[in-house]
Amino acid sequence: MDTELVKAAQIGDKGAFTALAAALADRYLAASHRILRDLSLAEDATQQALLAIWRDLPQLRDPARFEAWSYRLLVRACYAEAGRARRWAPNIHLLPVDEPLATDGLSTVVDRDQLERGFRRLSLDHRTVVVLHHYLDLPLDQVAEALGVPVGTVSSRLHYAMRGLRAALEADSRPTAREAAQ
Amino acid sequence: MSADRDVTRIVRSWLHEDGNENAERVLFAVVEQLDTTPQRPAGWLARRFPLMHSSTARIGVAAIAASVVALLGYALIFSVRCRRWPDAVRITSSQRCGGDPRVPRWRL
Repeated sequence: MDTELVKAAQIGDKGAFTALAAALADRYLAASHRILRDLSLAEDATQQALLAIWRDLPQLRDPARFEAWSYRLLVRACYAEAGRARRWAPNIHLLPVDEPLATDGLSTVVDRDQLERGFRRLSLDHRTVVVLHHYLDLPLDQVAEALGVPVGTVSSRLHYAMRGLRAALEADSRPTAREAAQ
Repeated sequence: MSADRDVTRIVRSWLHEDGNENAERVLFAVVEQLDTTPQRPAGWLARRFPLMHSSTARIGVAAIAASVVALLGYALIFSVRCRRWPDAVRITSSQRCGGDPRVPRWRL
């Protein structure tokens, strides 16, 4: 990230901030889309995050830490959008049709739908950690900084998230009770 | 262990699959709102002296502040006790507080 652009934006240079935002926006939208699983919510979160960055930029002490600091604002915006969506969403719970029976490895072909379902079953905290670490390639300490939690908490969330995903993939690839009975 | 690695690999490649996100609309909306969004000035923390970046200086300042608060607290409690002591114990109290304040010290 160009530190000079950050410094210029800190003192109110709108052109510099526009250049910064243009460099960040695609990546932020992609990350928030993956966290929130909804493009319009992700667009709102990205917009709110970029405006928050502009508003709070003079308070950033070390311009070299801009990227980590901005991820924190993006995560906050995602949480805010998720909370807003939860308040308006109808209260529908999807129930599993059949219980899985046999145990099996990950030998079957995994398709997008299985991953999508598994990922949606994760909590927002767990999805955020997975996206920051496995999509944005942030090391665990930077993920912890972005979330404002200890590194141990991040490791634990990541562990449980991956375990949840693995369980979801395995469950989806197993034959259902009905299939097994036939 | 290898199953864990498989899940990680699968999840990573799924996350990195091409999305259809285009942030142009978002960027346009943000740029439009810049004029009506004032920047928050840097707070008092940002205007600290460079000396405060040293942890020794920070601990020193904290220790001095704690001592000042302790001294002020002690002085306050001490003066309140001297003023509110009942008559029966005023003698001892006034003795402890350095004599009757109405009598000049040089006469004692």
